[in-house]
Parts: sequence; structure tokens; C-alpha cells
Amino acid sequence: MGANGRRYGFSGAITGAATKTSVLFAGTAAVRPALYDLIQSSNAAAADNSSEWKVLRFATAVGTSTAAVPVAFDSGDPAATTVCGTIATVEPTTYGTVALLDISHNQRATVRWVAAPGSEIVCPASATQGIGQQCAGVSGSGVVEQTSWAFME
Amino acid sequence: MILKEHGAFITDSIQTHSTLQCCHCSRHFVYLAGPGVENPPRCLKCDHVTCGRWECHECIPHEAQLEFKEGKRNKYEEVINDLVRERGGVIL
Repeated sequence: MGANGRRYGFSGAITGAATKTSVLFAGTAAVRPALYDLIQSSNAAAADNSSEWKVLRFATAVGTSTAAVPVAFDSGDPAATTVCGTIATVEPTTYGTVALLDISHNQRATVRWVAAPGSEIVCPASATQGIGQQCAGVSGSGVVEQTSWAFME
Repeated sequence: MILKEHGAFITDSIQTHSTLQCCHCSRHFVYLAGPGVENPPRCLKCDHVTCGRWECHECIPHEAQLEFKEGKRNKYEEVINDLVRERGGVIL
């Protein structure tokens, strides 16, 4: 990743439930993707449900998910090399136990996290390693939550 | 001590928390200063902020960990291998 890496974004939605991954990406041998912006929100009917989400590294396999096509923020950039996915049906392995980011929020609140330049969450240039955002648990009912990631590579 | 923030949480358009990033594991954490905890943990070797977990007491820069994961050799390899053994197989 260069200092002025190409920037991309994608999003996914999933009904919050423990150990379910909403969005993830993995590098390739050619790029080190770096997460720098995250937005978590819900479009469900207003209610007081809360959920906890963790951004975790995985080290062995990306699992199975719906492929997501990241949109380049600069229309002149080529397609992203980073492999992105949403709604994992087979969870990535092996997730770490330490959250790179830990977000708990009421569904009424939209939460955004943004990294200062140089403090992005960087993944290795490896096709089997990356990061995913997994639900750690819900309180009340699990509702549909939208997650948007912006990353550079 | 005034620290430069490494990230920020913004809730409903208002910045609610700043985050600091561990120089070893790259984790972002909310740091709330208070009585007895005026300063976040720092690495005694590189003097950067750490998350304070025991795994991060050893000075292994995140860049070296990334290289290790990519299969590249570096001078931290032996220390990382020791940690991997202690953690049970993988470095995350």
C-alpha cells in the first residue's frame, strides 16, 4: 500500500446474530489492503436493540461469502485487487480473539470509525489472510445492520 | 501528555471517542484517561503506544508481523516464533 493508495468502498447487510460475519476482505500476493473508514447502521424500524461487532483478523482461510465488488472512489482507478465479501455462509478461519475494533451500538445510532492517516488497519499481502467484521452478540432482537467499509490498497 | 489520536469514533455526526493504535498488534482502542491512568502503556523499547496486552510487551513492530505473515524473513522471526508457540499456532 502506498501513501496515496487507491481507495475503494463496499458495503454489506446482515441480520445481527452471534458469530455471523457481515463484511470481510483479504489481500492478495500483490496488495496489502488497509481499512480506514467504517460505518455501522441499521435501517430496521426504530427500536431499542443493541449489538456488538468486532473487526477481527483471520489467518488461514476466507471462508465462503457473497462476492462484493468494491467501487473505486476515483473513477480513473482500475478495479480493486483486494478480495471482498459479504454475508459469510462459511466463516473465515481462524479468527483472532483480539478485536482490532470493538463496536457496540444501539440500532438507532449510526456509528462511524475513521483512522488517522498512517493508522489504518493493514492486512498482509496474502490471499488467505485478512479481516472480517463479526457480530459478537445482540441484546433484544437481531436486526438488519448495514456495514460500509472504505479501504485503500 | 497530549497524544495524537490514531482514529475516531463518530456517533450520529458527533465525535464521541478518540482511539489509539497499538504499535505492535495494530489494534485500535478507546483510551480514557483518568486518575491513575494518565498515560497509556508504552513500549519500553520503541516508545510507541501499545494496547497493554502481554502479547504486545515484546517489541515486534507491526510491519515485522506483516512480513512474517507474508512468509518473509526478518530479524524478529525468532521472537515471533516463540510467541506463536505460546499462542498455540498462529499470530493474529
